[in-house]
Amino acid sequence: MDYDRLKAEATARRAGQEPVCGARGAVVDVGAFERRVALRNLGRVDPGSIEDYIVTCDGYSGLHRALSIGREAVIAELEKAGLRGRGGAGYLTALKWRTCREAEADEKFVVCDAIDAHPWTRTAQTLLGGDPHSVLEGLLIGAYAVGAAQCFLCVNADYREQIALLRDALDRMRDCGLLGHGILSSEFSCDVEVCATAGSLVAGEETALIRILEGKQALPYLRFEYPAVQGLHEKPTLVNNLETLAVVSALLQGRAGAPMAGDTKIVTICGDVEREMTVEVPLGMSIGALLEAAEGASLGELGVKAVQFGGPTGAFFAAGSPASGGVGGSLDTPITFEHIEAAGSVMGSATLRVVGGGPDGVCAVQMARDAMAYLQEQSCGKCTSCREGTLQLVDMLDDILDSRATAEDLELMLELCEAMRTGSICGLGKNAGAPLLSALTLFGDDFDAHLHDGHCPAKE
Amino acid sequence: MTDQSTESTVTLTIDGRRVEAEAGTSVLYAALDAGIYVPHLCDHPDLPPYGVCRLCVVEIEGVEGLPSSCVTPVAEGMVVQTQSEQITQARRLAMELLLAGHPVDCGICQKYLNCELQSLKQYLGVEESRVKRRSKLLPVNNSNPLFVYDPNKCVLCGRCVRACWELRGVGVLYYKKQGKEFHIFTREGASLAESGCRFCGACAEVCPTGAIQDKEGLIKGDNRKAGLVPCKSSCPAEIDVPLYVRLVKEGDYPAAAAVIREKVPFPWVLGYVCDHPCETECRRGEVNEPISIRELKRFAAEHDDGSLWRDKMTPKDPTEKRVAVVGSGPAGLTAAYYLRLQGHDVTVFESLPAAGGMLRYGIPEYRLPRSVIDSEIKEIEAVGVKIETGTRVESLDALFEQGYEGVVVALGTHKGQKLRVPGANSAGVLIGTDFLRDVNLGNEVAVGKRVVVLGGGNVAFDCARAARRMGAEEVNMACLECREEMPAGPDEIREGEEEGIVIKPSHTSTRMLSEDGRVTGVEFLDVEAFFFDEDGAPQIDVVEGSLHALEADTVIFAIGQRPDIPEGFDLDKTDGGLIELDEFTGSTSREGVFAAGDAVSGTASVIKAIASGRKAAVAMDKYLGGSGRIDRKVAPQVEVPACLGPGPGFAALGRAADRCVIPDDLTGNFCEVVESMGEDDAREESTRCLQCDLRLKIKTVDFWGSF
Ligand SMILES: Cc1cc2nc3c(=O)[nH]c(=O)nc-3n(C[C@H](O)[C@H](O)[C@H](O)COP(=O)(O)OP(=O)(O)OC[C@H]3O[C@@H](n4cnc5c(N)ncnc54)[C@H](O)[C@@H]3O)c2cc1C
Ligand SMILES: Cc1cc2nc3c(=O)[nH]c(=O)nc-3n(C[C@H](O)[C@H](O)[C@H](O)COP(=O)(O)O)c2cc1C
Ligand code: SF4
Ligand code: SF4
Ligand code: SF4
Ligand code: FES
Repeated sequence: MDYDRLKAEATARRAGQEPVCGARGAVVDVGAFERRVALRNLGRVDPGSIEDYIVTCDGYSGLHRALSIGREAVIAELEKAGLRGRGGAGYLTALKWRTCREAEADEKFVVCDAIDAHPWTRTAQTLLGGDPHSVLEGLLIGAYAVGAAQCFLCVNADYREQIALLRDALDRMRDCGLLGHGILSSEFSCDVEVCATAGSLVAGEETALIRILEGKQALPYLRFEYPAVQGLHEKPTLVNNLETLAVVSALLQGRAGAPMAGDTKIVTICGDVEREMTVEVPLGMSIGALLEAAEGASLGELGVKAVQFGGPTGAFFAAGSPASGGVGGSLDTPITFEHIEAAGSVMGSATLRVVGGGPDGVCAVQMARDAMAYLQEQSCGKCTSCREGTLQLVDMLDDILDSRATAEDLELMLELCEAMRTGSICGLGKNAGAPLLSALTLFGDDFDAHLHDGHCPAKE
Repeated sequence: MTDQSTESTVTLTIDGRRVEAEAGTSVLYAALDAGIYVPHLCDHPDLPPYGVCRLCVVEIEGVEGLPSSCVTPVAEGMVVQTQSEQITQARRLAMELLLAGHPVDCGICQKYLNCELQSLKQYLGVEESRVKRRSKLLPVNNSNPLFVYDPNKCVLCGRCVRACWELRGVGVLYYKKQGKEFHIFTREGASLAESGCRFCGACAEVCPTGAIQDKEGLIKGDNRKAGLVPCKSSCPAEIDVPLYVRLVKEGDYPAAAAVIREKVPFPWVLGYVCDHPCETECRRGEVNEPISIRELKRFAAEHDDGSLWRDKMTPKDPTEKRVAVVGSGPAGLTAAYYLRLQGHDVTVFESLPAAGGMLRYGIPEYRLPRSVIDSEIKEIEAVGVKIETGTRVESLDALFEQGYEGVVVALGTHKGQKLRVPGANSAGVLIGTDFLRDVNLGNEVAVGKRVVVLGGGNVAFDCARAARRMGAEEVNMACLECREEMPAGPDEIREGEEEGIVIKPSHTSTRMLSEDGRVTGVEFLDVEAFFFDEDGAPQIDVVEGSLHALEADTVIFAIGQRPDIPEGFDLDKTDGGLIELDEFTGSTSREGVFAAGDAVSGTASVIKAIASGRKAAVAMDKYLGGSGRIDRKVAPQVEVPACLGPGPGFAALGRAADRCVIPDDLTGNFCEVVESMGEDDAREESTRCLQCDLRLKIKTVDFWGSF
C-alpha cells in the first residue's frame, strides 16, 4: 500500500470511528513556557487510533518522506538539525546513525529505550500513553536509515496500559502495511517487537538493555566497540531514546522545522512541589525560571533548598552563585547540555527534583546521604568502585551525620568519588559522586557544622 | 602498507621499552607478554575483558585519568607507563575496596597460598586499610554437589559469571543482592541442578579467591590436575575416558575405540567385565549417578571397525631380541603385545589348552562371550605374538637356555584355597577356581541339587551362578561380611539374586557335615562383627548360641586364591606367596625377569592386570635397550569446543537403564546376560558426562612472583 492510499483509507475509516481513547480534538492546555516537538500531538491525537494519527497529525508522512529521499539524506537532515540524543548523554544522533549505517553486517537491529529508568522521569509513560505512533514512526525511520529489519521497543514493564496500547498499535500498523514486507510499497521491510522490560536504574543503560534482550542479566558492559558497531548478538545495533525518535519523526514530517528540533527537552518536575508535571521546554531556559513558570510562584515563595537536576546521579543546584569549577551550580544555570556538563553533571533524564524547606530546612549532608543511599541500592554490583564506593560513602556520610567523622574522612570521600568517576563502567557509577560533590560545593557550611561543631544545622 | 606483518602488528612503548603486539591485544597482555608485570584480578586469559577491579590501571599519554589496561586495546605509537606514584595509589585504593568485605584471616582458608587475591595484596603491600572493613556475615552455601560457595570471600570479580555465560554458554550464575551485600547465585536462588548447571567446574577453576571451591576431599591425590578428571586418573591404565565418552556423543565410534586402544589391547573384554573403578570416582556420581563408562566402552568396541588404529599399531623394526612370557592372561598378553610392537620377538607360553587366563577359565561365558576373547587375542597374534598353548613352563633357566633374553612372568593366581575346618576334605567339597575351570573347559562337573558357596566376592558369584547353570536347584551363598560390605559389585549381587541365589551374609562356617565321606551340609555361626585388627589380621565376633546348618550335597570354596609358582622359577616371594618386585625397576629378584598381573598383586582385576602388563613391557623394553615408550597416538586429535550451551534438565538426566536379561531356564544356558547398549542409549548416556577434562584447558594466571 502506498502512502496516498494509506491516507485515503485511513480518512475513510476514521469518519465512522468513535474515539478509541481520550477525547478527540480536545483543547490542550499548553503552558506559555512550553515548546512541544516530541509531545506535539499530546492531547490532540487519539492514541488508540492510527487513523487519527495519519489524518490529523500527518502521521507516517515522515516515514514516507524518508523512504523517498534515501538513507543518507535522512541522516544529513538530522545532522543539519544538530539533533542530540535525549536519553541523557546527548550524543549526536546523526553520528550514531551513520556509524551504524556504515557498519557492515548481515543483520542490524534498532532498540528503542523506553525504560524511564530514573525513578522520577515520566517521559516514556507520557509519550507512549499519549502518542505512541510518533515514536513508532521515528523507530521505522531509524531502521530504514541504518538498514535494520528488526526493532525492539523496550518498555518499562510497569507501564501496562502503554504496552497494551503499543501492541494494539503494532497490529494496526501491520494491517495498514506499515510493518512487514515492503512497507509503503518500498523495498523496506521491517518488524517491531514490544519488550516489557523489568525496570531498574541500570536497565535503561544501553549495554545493559542489550544484555536483557539477549536473555542475560542487566549488567552494563565495557566494549571495545560501540553498540552501533557491535551490539545485540554482536550485530550493529542502533539504540535510541524514545524522545529522540519522536523528534526524528517530527523532523522528517517537516513540521518541527530545522531550528526547533534540536532545542527542546522533555522535563519532569517533582519532589517538594504542588503538582508534578512532565512538560517539554525550550533548551536554554534556566532551572529556576522553569520552576517559577511551572509553579507560578517565585523561588523565594517556593522555599527551595536545592534542585537535583538530571535524575538520581544529577548534581544539586541552588540559589546563589557557587564558585565555578566545582560540581553543582546555581539555579540560574540554563538547561542546555553544555551548561549542565559545565556544572559537572549530565542532562540524564532532565528531571528537576525539588528539595524544599528553604535554605535551612534540610541538612545537605542528609540530602547527599539519601542520594548516595539510593545509588548504593541501585548499583548493579559489577564495578568495584561503584559497588563498594557507594557503600563506603553512605557509611561515611552516616558518620558525618553522627558527627563521628574527621577532615581526613572528607579527603577519602573525595578520592572515592574520583575512583567512581574514572573507574566505573556506566553512567550510574561515573556520576554517583555528583550529588555529594555538589552538596559539598553548595552547602559546605552544613558539612562543617557536623565536622567541626558536632551539630546538625537543620536541627537548631 | 606493503608488509603483511605490519598491518596486524602494533608497536608501542611500555615503561620506555619498545613492545610489539598484535592489533586488538589489550595493553595488559602486551605488557605481560613482554615480561612487564601489571597486577590484574578481574581479567582472565580465557574470559572476555571486564574492567571492574581497577588493579590494572596504567597511564597512557594523551588519555585522561588512569585507564584500565585490560580493556584498552593497543594502538600504534601508544606510550604507556605501568608504574607511578599515582598508579600505585589508585591500585591500592582499588585493593582496599576489594578487601573491604573480605575476611581478614587468610591462614584458615583452603586457598591459602594458591589465592590470586592474596598474592596481589602482597604485591601491592596493602596491609592497612583506610576504608572500613566489615564482615558480610552471609551464609556459606554447601547445598550443591561438587562445589562450595562462600560469599564472604567473594570479591565480585565476575570471572565465574563470565565463565558460566561466555565461556561455557550455560548461563546460570547471576549477581545477586542481599541487603547491602552482593553475592553470586542462580537466578531464582534455586539449586545449581535446578538452574541448568552443567557442573563443568569452570567457575571454580577461574575464581581467583577461595569463594568457589571444590568440595573438600573430592579432588584426590597430590596431582590436582589429575584429580580433576577422576575417571581417567582412577583408571589403572589411564584411559582417556572423557575423550572417548565425548567421541561416542559425537557419533565417532571408531575414534572412541581408538582412544581406548591407545592404552589397552582389550577394549571389548573390558566393556564386559571391567570392575570400573572409574565409575566409583566419576564426578557425575555426586550429581546423581555415575556415567556408565564400562557400557560405553563396550559400545565403542562393538562399533569399532579398526580403521583408525589397526595400521598404526604395527611392530617397529625387529630388534632381534627374544622375549618369553609365562601365562596368557590379560597381564601376559598385554605385555607381549606391547613388547612385540617395540620390535621384539615374543612367545607366550600357556599351560592350558587356550589363551586368555582367567578371562577364559575363570569368568563364565554368560558374562564374557568366548568370541569376544577370541577376537581380541586374534589382534594380538596378528601383530606377530606367538602363543604356545598346552605348554607349562617349569623353569626359567630352561627359557634362558633356549635363547630368550628376558622373561615376563604373568601366571596369575590359580591355586584355590579351602578353609581348615573339619570335613573340608569330604567328597563334594570343591574349590571355586577349579570348579570354574572345569566348567569352562567343558569337563564333567558333579554338581548336586543343593549347593552352598562359601565366599562373598565376584568369584563366589561366578561359582554360584555357574552352579545354577550346571543344574543346581538351590544355591546358598554364605559370607563373613554383612550385606553392605560384601566385596562383590552391586550388579553382580542383584543379578545373582535374580537368578535365585540366596545370600546369607554374616555367616562363618564351623565344619562340613558329612556322611560316608560325602558332604551333607555346612554348619554355621552367625557373625556379630567382622573386622581387621591393627595388624591387619581378620577378627570375627560370633553370636553365642547361633549354631545352625544348611543342607548341601555340593560345597564350593571361593575364598581367594594364590599363585602357583613352580619351584624351578627360583623367584623371591612375599609373605603372601606373591612374586616380589623391585619398586623402582619393576624387576623380580632375577635379572631379566619381570612379572605382572595377579601373580604380583594377588587376584585383582582385568584392568589392573593390563596396567601391570604395560608396566612390565616398559621395564622389559628398557632392559632390552629400548626407549620404554609404548604409547602411540592413534586417535584423531580434535579441537574441543569450550562452549557447552544451556543445560536445563541436564543434572536430572538418569543413568542408562540396566539391560540385564536373565533367561527363564538357566540350566545349561551360558548365553550372555547383559545386552549391548543401543546407539540412542549410548548417545544419551555420553551426553550426561560433565566433561571434567574441559576444565584443564582453562589457563592458570601467572602470579607476580613468576615475572
Ligand atoms: C572367577 C573369576 C572372575 C573374575 N571376574 C572378574 C571380573 O569380572 N572383572 C575383572 O576385572 N576381573 C575379574 N577377575 C580377576 C581377573 O580375571 C584377573 O585379575 C586377571 O585375569 C589376572 O590376569 P593375569 O594375566 O595376571 O592372570 P590370569 O588371567 O590368571 O592368567 C594367568 C595364566 O597363566 C597360566 N599359567 C599359570 N602358570 C603357568 C605356567 N607355569 N606355565 C604356563 N602358563 C601358566 C594360567 O593357565 C593362566 O592362563 C576374576 C577372576 C576370577 C577367578
Ligand atoms: C544508569 C543509566 C540509566 C539510563 N536510563 C535510560 C533510560 O531509562 N532511557 C533512555 O533512553 N536512556 C537511558 N540511559 C542512556 C542510554 O544508555 C543511552 O545513552 C540512550 O538510550 C541512547 O539514546 P539517545 O542517543 O537517543 O539518547 C541510561 C544511562 C545510564 C548510564
Ligand atoms: S557503574 Fe555501577 S551500575 Fe554501572 S556497571 Fe558499574 S557497578 Fe553497575
Ligand atoms: S565467586 Fe570467585 S570468580 Fe565469582 S565473582 Fe566471586 S571472587 Fe569472582
Ligand atoms: S563426568 Fe565424565 S569426565 Fe567427569 S568423571 Fe565422570 S566420566 Fe569422567
Ligand atoms: S584486570 Fe583490568 S580492571 Fe580488573
